[in-house]
Amino acid sequence: MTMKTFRHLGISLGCAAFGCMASSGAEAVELSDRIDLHGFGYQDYAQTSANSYLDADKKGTWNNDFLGLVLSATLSEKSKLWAQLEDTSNGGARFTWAFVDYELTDSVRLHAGRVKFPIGFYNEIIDAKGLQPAALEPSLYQSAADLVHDAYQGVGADFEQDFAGGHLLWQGYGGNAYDVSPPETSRDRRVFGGRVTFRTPIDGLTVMGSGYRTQVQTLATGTMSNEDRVIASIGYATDALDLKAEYGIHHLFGVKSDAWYVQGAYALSDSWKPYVRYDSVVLDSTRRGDASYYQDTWVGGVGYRVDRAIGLKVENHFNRGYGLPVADGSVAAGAGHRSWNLLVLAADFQF
Amino acid sequence: MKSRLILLCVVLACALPMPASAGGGIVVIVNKANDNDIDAALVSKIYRGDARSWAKGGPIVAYDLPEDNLLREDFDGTYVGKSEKALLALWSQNVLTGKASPPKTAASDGEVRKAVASNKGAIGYIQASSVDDSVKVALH
Repeated sequence: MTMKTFRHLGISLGCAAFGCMASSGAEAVELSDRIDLHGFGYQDYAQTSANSYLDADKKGTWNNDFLGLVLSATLSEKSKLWAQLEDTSNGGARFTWAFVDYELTDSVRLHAGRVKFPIGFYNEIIDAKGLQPAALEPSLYQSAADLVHDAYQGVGADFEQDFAGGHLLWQGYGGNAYDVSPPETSRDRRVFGGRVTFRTPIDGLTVMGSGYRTQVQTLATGTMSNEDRVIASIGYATDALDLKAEYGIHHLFGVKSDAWYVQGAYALSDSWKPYVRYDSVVLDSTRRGDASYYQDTWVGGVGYRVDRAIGLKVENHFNRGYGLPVADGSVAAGAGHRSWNLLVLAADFQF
Repeated sequence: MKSRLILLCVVLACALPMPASAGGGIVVIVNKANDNDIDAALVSKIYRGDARSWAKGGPIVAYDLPEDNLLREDFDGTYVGKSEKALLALWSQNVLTGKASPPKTAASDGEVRKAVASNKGAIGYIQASSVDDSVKVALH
């Protein structure tokens, strides 16, 4: 779970964004012929029955919120600048990502700058809650699990082709991993990776394989180690139905962690969409039976779209094990509760 | 009895709402200087965000009608092969992740025709009855 808060700047930007929505019917704000502005954000309320996590406790917290503004500027016939500005509680506004996209041919595109890691279904939309069925993303993508990074700084290339009646997208990239809050004992150095996405001839059915390797330098000794992440994904989406399943593994310093989930959402109408997810994460495969290192979660909830721009969600996470609260330091290993609930109420908007 | 049934059918047919393409159907239009080969598959790719450049060079600039326009609903189903709702979700994801910008929205058939006539890389759709010699019909 990416936990960012916005206060002074965020509130004023939020008011501006809502103002824009009101005047534009929740479509892009066209600042000029060459520049468009979009945005999104959310405000959650979270309460736990035990195991403080995501800032929540038994009394609940409103500390989970986010505001992002997405700017696109046409630089030339073939190039475009994309940037997402967000506000954080630990240092004000920053660019989550910002890159220049150059269309070499209709099949080949090049990117340079800070780019969200193209890994799995969720990493690129992790902050845009309106694009996700649930308020909290699967454990696989929550920052406590440390299975995926935010972004890389470097260069990348996309190649698209029609294949076997479907559509293939190949993506490759290299550079440095970008970390908002890098650990004090190590630094990520070089990174390279890729993703293959196949939109099958069956409309709505997508399969995907993605992964990347980073070189991690231990600052005290200067030694370099490889850190690997791989995710396999399958999804099927129609107007009403949204099914997803993913499995990810992570290797670092001889420790293997893995996570997977299966998720289904069904739109009963234009407004109501209930969803359910089973989530599992093991943060050290040698301690699978230790509740401090695994977490299995049933998530059940329902989303209500007020209109195209604004959505509300209520969901409960029925947890067994408390691997994520231990991983983010909220609870000491061995001191937590094996069975606990996390209730989330959420509002999101996008334009 | 038979004549009453026929009469009933005629009355019911008249009572049904007119389809969006009642003005002669949808036509896909491009700039008169556009000499690319255009088929339904390419039009679908353009409006899904999978095609961004013309085969003979230059960026594609696609135009849509407003969301509440019945011709757009007809076009999305007939040419793009997706519901308007599915396309809105697709474009939201494209935009919020920095993948592609959605088609520009023009207020009416006349506005689409005007935009296509003035931009070599433009493509749009309008009712057949709205076509004039300022644009070229690519598909109908």
